[in-house]
Amino acid sequence: MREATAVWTVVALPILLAGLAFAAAAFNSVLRAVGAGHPEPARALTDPLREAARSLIVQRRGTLAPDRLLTRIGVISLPVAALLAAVVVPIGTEPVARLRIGVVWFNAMEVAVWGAVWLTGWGVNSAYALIGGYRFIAQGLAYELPHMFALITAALGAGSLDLTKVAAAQDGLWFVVWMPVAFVVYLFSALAMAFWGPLGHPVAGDLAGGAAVELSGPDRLVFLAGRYMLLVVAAAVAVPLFLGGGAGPLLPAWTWSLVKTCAVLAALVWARHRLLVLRMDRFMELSWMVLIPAMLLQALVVAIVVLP
Amino acid sequence: MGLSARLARCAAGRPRPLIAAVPGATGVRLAAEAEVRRRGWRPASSPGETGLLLICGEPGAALDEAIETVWWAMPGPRAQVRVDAAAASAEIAEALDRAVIGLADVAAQRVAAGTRPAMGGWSPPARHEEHHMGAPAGLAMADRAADRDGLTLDVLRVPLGPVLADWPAGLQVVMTLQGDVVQGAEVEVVGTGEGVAFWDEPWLAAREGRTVTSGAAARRLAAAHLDSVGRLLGVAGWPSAAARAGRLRDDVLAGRPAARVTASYGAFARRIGRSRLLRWMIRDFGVIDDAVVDRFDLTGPAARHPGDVAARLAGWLAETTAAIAAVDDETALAGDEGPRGPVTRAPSAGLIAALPALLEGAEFSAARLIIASLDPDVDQLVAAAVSPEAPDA
Amino acid sequence: MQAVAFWGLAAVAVAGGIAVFVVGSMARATFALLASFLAAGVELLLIDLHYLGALVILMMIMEMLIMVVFMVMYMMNPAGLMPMVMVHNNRGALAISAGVFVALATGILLTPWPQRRGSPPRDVTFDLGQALMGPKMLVMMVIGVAILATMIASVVLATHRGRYDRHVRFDRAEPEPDLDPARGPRRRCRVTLETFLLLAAALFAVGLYGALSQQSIVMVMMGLELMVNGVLIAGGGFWYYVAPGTADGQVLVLVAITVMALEMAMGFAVVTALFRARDVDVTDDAGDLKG
Repeated sequence: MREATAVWTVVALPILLAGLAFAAAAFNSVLRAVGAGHPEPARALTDPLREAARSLIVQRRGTLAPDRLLTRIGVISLPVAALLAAVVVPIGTEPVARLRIGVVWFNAMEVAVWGAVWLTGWGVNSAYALIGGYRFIAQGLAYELPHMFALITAALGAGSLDLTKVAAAQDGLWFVVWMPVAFVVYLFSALAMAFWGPLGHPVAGDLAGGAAVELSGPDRLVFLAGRYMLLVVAAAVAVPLFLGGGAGPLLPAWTWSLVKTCAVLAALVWARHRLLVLRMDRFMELSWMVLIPAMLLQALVVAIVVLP
Repeated sequence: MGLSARLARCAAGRPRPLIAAVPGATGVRLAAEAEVRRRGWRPASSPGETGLLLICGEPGAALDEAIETVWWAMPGPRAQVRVDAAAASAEIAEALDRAVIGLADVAAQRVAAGTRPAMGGWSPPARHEEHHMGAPAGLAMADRAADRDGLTLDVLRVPLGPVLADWPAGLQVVMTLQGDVVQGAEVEVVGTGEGVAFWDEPWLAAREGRTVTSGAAARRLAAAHLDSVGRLLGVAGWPSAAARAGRLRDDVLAGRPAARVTASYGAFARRIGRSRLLRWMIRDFGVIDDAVVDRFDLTGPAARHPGDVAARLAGWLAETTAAIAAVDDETALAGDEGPRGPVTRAPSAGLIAALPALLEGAEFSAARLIIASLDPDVDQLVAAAVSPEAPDA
Repeated sequence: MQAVAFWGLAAVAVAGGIAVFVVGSMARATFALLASFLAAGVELLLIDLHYLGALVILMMIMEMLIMVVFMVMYMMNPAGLMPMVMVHNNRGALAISAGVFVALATGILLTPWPQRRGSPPRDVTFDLGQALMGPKMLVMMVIGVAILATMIASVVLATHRGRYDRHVRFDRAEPEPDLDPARGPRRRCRVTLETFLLLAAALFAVGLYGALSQQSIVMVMMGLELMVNGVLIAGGGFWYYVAPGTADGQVLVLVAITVMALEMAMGFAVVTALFRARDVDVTDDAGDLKG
């Protein structure tokens, strides 16, 4: 926590995070325009900006007898958790704050999203939002164990909980090559922690927007921006965990980190348009019957390999 | 000042319209949806998200009240567009243009915001005055009822509809929820405006003795099923496929040549039909068997394709394939088998009657899928109620 | 700097604990408790217990959310603003917990605490892992078996549906270069073992008050959790200021975290069973359980 870090990185990190979040949103808009058959999908690039502008001028709306304090805490927790998680992600070779237990820290911040979504759903006093909040808890119970096993498998392969060390340990052979199951499970859980696309049941259309249904104006902007940031962080952590971190020819390490992050991010955004929402009662089954056993086997294989 | 005006102008170009469909005005709803899509706007799904309420048709008093509640819950800047059931596409486009100008007018919006009651901590518009003892904000607290695990848990009564995305116009389902499990459901039809049963038009016209080709009827049937499929996909959380279904529906209605429609529909149907993920998500609930068919006197696709939600989707896709193959049929239309069954018997009444039994015990998202997979056409009931002899086509 | 952080977090921890029994809304109470835990977790981070600190944050968020779901299940009113204060024997509980705090504080201030022996290892997490896999293997086995037994018991007791799972992970990590870990707290700042123990005592006393005075079983459990939170802080403090060379303190913290999880699982299983059998969720109505 107290390693020396350049001050400018502390400033640059939120900017970078916001920039990538915007890129994800813009890409998502373009994909949506293509899907809707719009003749000039490139024009949709600015849609997120217009939406943000609208959110800034829209009134906050009230619901009957809400718990405003808890709602606000929930909404603001999303970007905060994303930012705190991003702090330990190495961009190139160095994170903003090098924490020896970076993997656990990332995991803890990701669990904070549970609280954020639940509070947002609960606080506004609306049945739809509450069901959305519930769904996220169910989703959490479904994805969290496979997610933890995926993180631990990579950490086990490297023999360290430090994301920088995990990335360094892949010198030569990326973990994705010999831990494919863990990588796929990680991508699943990345979608789940940002409740995005196939794992967006908590904010799904059948609930008219689920946990976010009653939000408007700045609240909505912060909530949605936080969600994109989480998606970015989830994509960024996949790079040191499975994709060799900043390793790559010619270009400097930080460029490779960014390039790989963008690739994973694009894949995650694309998944939303390719796949449909997984209903929680069914996903729970898949998670516990398939993903967890598969992850245990993967962890076993890795453990046998790294055993001296 | 300057900044908020600029933001308003920037935002006004991309409003998120919320479409309030009125039973008996399906034609104008379709035109409005097509116009919204043409502009590249993204429809909203809740009052909090929208800034533009687009009312398609003339709602009756009961539905008007529901729409008023939505309008009331919309944060400003906001605009309301009402188009009547006979409006042409150009009129809709013009009305939307006016709304955009209104949204960008900061001064007017500010005046409007000043005249409305304060946001936050609102109470429902003028109704019951009695105060509940000790309860916050005069709210009734949740009741308790037995649940399926043998616990006594709190229940909430939650209305669904009538203004909701991917939802049959004019339908309202009041669900008794325990957590996200539906313990009971009461269904009612809101709004008895006048209007026509758009999807049944060709058959009704043929019965009146006008000349209607089988091809025209096949187009209408294919479009009706594509509309239902699009909604089901929307509720299932597959917006890209739902948008595709909507485009196909409009192409079919617009009279595109059979060859082009067949090709693009074929690709769509294959994609949907082959999606194992979709089948996994929509199977094994909402099962309609022979007993249910007999009890509620069901006809049409729901009766022809007994089984779960997935079976009904497959049935729609198969019937659409057959209908699209027949769009160039020039023979005169015979028979009265419309998209949802015999047009003279208002088959949607049976579908609506069957809902409470099917919904009981379903998880919330399953309940919505069940409703979408039956997709009752309230137009049939409204049109029948207004002019029992035969609506004017 | 560190002293400021310590006192700020200590204030948050205690205030969160007190807020649990004051706010009157179940949701707020749960998240006040969570704030208390998070503050405790960051305190652990401050004294170089990175792994355990992050673990406390992670586990407590999950635990509180499970708690909140149960709470809402029994008392479902969105936003939960129905003011509810259900206490019995308030004054007595207040007196007892105040007395306990004073006694503990006196003991803490009067006891001649041993001098610090050794210094924190280069990688405290590695040390913990070594201890658990080596000399403390028995503890780890007991924890594992206890978790398994609790899971089975709660499932049997509560419902045919599964409850949540709780697992503690132990990872190997390589020793690595580190900045001098012994710097800081000893220098100018006023944070000493005594202050840590005082914070622990305060949390313990607040929790005790809750456990004694609350009627709702859920609230009683929150009180118990606060007491364990105190133990957790004390364990961390002892480790850092008395024997950082050995992992015993860390193991104690880990055991405390596990105990909380187990307590919650069992507690809710019992509540659910009670609820099913008799439709009660307050302690006074279940008095005949005394036997």
